[in-house]
Amino acid sequence: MNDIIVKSITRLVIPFLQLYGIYIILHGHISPGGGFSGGALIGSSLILYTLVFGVDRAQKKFSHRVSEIAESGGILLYLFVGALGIALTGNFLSNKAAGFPLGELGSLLSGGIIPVLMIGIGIKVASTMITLFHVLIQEESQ
Amino acid sequence: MFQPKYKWYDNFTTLTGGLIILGAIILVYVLAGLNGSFGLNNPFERFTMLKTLSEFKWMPLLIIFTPAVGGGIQLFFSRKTCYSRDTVVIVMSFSTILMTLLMYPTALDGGQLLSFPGFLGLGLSLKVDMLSLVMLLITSILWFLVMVYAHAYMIKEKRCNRFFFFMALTYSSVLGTLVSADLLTMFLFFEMMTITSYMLVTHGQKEESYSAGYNYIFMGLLGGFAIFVALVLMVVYVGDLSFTSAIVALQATGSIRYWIIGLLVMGFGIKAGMAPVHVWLPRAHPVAPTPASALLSGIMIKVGAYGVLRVATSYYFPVKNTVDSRFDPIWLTSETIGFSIIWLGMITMAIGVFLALQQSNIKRMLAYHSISQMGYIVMGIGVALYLGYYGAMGFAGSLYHIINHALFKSLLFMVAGSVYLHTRENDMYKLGGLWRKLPLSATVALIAALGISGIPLFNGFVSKTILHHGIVEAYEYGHASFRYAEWIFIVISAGTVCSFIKLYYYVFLGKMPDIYKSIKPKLNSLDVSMAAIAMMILFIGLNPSLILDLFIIPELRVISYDPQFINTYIVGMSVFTVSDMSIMVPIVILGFLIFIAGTKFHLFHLKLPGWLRIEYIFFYPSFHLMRGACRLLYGDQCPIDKKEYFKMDIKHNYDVGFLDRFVVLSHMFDKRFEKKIINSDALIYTILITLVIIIMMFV
Amino acid sequence: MIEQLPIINLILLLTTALVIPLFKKQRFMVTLILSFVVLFIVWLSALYLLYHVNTTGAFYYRFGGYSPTIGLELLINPFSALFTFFVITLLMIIFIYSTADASDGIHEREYGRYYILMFILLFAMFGIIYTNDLFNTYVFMEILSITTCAIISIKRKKKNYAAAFRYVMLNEMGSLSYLFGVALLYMVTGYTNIELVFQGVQDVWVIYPTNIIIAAIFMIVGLGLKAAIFPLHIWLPDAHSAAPSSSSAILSAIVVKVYLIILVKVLFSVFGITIIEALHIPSLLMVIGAVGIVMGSFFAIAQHDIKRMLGYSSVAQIGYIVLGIGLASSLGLRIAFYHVFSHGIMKSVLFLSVGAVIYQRNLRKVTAYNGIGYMMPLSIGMFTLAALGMIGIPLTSGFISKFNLGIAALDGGQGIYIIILVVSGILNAIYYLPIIIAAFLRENPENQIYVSKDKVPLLMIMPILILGAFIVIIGVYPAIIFDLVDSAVSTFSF
Repeated sequence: MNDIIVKSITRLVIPFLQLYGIYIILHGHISPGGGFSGGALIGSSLILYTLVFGVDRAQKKFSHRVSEIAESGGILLYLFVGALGIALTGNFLSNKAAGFPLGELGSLLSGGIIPVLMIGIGIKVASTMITLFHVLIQEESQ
Repeated sequence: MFQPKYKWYDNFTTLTGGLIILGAIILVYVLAGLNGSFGLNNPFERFTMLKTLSEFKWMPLLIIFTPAVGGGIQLFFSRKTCYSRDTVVIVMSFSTILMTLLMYPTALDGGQLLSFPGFLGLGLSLKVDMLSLVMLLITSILWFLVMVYAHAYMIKEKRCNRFFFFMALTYSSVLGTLVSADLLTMFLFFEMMTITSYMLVTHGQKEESYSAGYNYIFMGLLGGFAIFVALVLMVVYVGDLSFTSAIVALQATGSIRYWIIGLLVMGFGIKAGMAPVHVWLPRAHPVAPTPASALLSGIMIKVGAYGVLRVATSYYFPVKNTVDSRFDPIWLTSETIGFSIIWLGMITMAIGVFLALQQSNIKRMLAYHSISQMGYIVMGIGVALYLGYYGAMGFAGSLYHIINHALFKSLLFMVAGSVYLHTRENDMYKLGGLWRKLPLSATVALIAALGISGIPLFNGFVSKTILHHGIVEAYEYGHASFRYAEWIFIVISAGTVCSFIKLYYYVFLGKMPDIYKSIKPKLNSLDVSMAAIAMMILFIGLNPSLILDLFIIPELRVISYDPQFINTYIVGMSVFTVSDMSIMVPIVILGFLIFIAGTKFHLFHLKLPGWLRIEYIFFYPSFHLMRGACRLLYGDQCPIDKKEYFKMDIKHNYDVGFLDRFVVLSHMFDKRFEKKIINSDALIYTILITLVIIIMMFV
Repeated sequence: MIEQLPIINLILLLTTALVIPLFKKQRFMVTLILSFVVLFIVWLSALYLLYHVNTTGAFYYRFGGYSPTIGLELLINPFSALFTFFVITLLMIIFIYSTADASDGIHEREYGRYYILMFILLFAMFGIIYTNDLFNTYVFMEILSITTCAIISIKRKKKNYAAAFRYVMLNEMGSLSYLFGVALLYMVTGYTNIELVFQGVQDVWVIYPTNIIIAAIFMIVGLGLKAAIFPLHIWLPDAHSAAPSSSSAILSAIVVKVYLIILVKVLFSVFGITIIEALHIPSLLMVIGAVGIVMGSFFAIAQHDIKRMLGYSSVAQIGYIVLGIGLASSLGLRIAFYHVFSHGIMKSVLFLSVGAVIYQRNLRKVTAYNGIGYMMPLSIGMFTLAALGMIGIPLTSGFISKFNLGIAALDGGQGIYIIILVVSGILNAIYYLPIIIAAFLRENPENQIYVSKDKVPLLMIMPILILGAFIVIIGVYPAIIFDLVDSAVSTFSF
């Protein structure tokens, strides 16, 4: 799109979108939402960038390589945390039993491993959305 | 200049001739020693090492594996000359004969059981007892001689290596069938035999080889499956598959026991060429190379008869010495079975001879004669079962006839092959006067023809006499209808005589057509092997009681037949009595009369209507069912009548087999329905769920 | 430490799948070696688990240590250990084959993707077999369907798209059907853990029979759709004709069997034998199995493409397994499990040897196999061996399956099914024998007389030979498998 109004507004809005998404991810254990919805928000912000500025610029910002690392990294983080559970007590994804600090109910740093898992999931979902979008757009243009 | 004399034999002939003479000497020595004639002692007692070797536990396995290993070795030699390859083959078969001979004392004692538990789930077991030993001996001797023959014959064919390799594998499987001690082992080797012999039948790779081979393997597999069902029934109802008496457990199963024996007879009967499932025999023999035909007719169909004999006399007879009268109700099952088997044998005999008289192709005629002679053997087995306690005569007759038929039928096939090799002609009406060019072949053909006709002083006479005694006893001790059976027996023997008069007259006597005036006969291994078999025929014909005393009577004593009966009627039986020989006179005269009438009234060229073929009668309902199904599916547009499927047209109706029609039907079905089924996936799912819910809710 | 082995397997597999895309494209060898090492480690641990479970006893694995009422549970008993071992062994051998199969349409840059998919596939299958929770089974089932679909349509050809699409749709129908059943069960029992559901179902059977009947039907039909049981087998032939050979082998030999395992679990661990018999499900399964056996072979006779023919042949053999399950006795289940092994190996040999022939000479039509036996003796020899196994010749594992299935049927009073076995053997002979006969007994196009070695890579021939040796070993000495299977069958109560 070559409209200057759309481009400027988008440039202003996208950081706020992403901030909101991160907020939802981080507060996954306190309020409704969590990894999936937050990740979807971040993903949609990147889709907005692609729509407005074109695939080529978006590819430079979020290239194939970066998305590969992000996707694998998200799940690897998840698995790593779970494996920590094995190393510490015995079972996969142990939370309280593994002795992670649970904190007090309602505060940000509570819930043991849950925020970390949310982060992993959020990264993964965001990168999946943007990758699928890029692939579909590129298929169509071929 | 020194001109080398024309060498009228080659190296191979010398080698094999020497081996044959060596084998004959060994055989005569052992047999004479066992019999005590010529003042010789029992060689097994004299050389104790032989006795130890005979009791070697793994001997049956060694006998089975020698041909297989030999086959592998000959594959290795196969890229060198034919001579070295065939030498391996000959040595391998000769050593098998020696090993079989070695087994005699153990077999006399009843045989040692060699079992392999856990194999194939239920375990395999091998044992060489007297019945197996008789069959093994005739198999190994005949196989050796046919291998000698095959060397000279197969020089003209291509892809011999494949032929000899599969011949070796078939030999292994046949030996395996003969030494097995339970039904599962026999089934294993039986299936292997079917598959490996298929490659021999289709060796020629011509159009008719493929269709004959297709028919052969499907009927073979069908027989195998019949035995498979009987096997499953036996395991569930009786539990123990080894060849020991199971009649007590079987009687408790009610009518299942008739199913079991019916399936077994059908399964082995397909292999044995019993009517009505004999249809593969006349197709397979003309297309197979002659050594393969000789062995197919000589040994492999006997395996079918052996199977019936073994199964019936092991499972359906009581344990020895527990019964002492003919009227014990335990014989009831075997009486009923025996009755049907005798009549099946009679029908087989009749069909065989009648159709044999109509043939002009020599090999096809011999194939029909195989069917007819197998009818004799099956009839003998039937008598052995029917008369129960007194059935020893039938058993002896069928076993003796197995030996004799193997000898003279393979000799006849070899003669046909020799004629083909020299003249490239299979039709007997186009040949003539060959006794001048092929004197040796003519002589041995005469001996074989006299043998099969049952003329005294030749081996056929002995076994046919014993079988005749058997059928007379069936009439005396049993049902009155066997009187007619005896008359049929006489007429069919006359038919056999007639047929061989016809063969000999048209092929060897008479005027020779001009094209054959230039063939130059050479003495090679063909003639050596033929001469050896002819010698054996004469030997058995002149000393019939040798085989009886050494092999058959010890076997009879193992089975639960009446010892008194055996001692009175069979021990020391002389076949050269006036009453027996005088039966032959009317038979021979009747044979000549049929021949003269046949040539005068052209009875030998009857064109039978197409619908009379066995296959068509059997499958008639299903033909019409399939045609009807097609009409139903397609309405007027049934492609059966259209050009694409011209095979189904009325004219070609009789030639197309059941399987071809089935395949065409499935093609049509698929063409119409497959795409529709694939496209209606969701519909099928919905229909299925609704149906199942309805079934569940209301049942 | 031994208790952690199952989850370590799962973690290892998923990690490998995630790590492969991080390697640079040029260093493809690293991917292969890493994959093989991981597969080998997982194989060793599956073997050790099998040994451990058979000697010490079954154990549960709870995620996070939560109790089964709220948490996720894995059950490692002889049954699951046996089938995970089966899956990993067969997949390892097919993996070795696929590393050499560079033709058949897998592009160069697709390589890494193929192995990522294979690892996720393996992860999902392990998950399904280990898990003791119905909903978790659904999750893994979805992962399995998607990756199987991807592994089948990996060749980017236009005509594959319709087949792949149909495959996805039908599999979704199957999964959703299964989910519906699970939801109904959750509704009446309140749990998704298999053992708790079993208790619940026994308790509420008299109160809510309709619920349980409908749940059973939907679950069985849904699983039947994914396991290619007869009227619902529609997607299988198309999937096979479009896929590369190693994917066909994976699909037909392993993936379909996993769904049959879920079926066994659902029937015997969730509903229990009393409810099943009250609903007449055994007779229904036996009839469907028998019809599938005959119709599968009937359609196979009419095919021209050899891979479609092998696909329909799979449908027929799955009918055998369903017949065994339907007998609902320990003998029947025993032979069904043995046939899972036997058919898995035989079908892999068939697909892999056909793949070798396609690699060297690109022959897919059934009528084009004249004389190939002289040019590719090893591949066609193994094809013959597996085909003879399908027909039911002794010395192969196919004969043992048929034989014991006949005995089991007769023992259960259903002797009529022996006829179906015989008919099936003859039908199998009708479509396998012409290929073998043409391969060895007709003249090949180059009139070659002497037998020459296959020109396919060693890595393609070795797996085929190994699997062929297994067919004979299992066929001659079936006690090897039967001992393991007996302990697996004893975990179900009749």
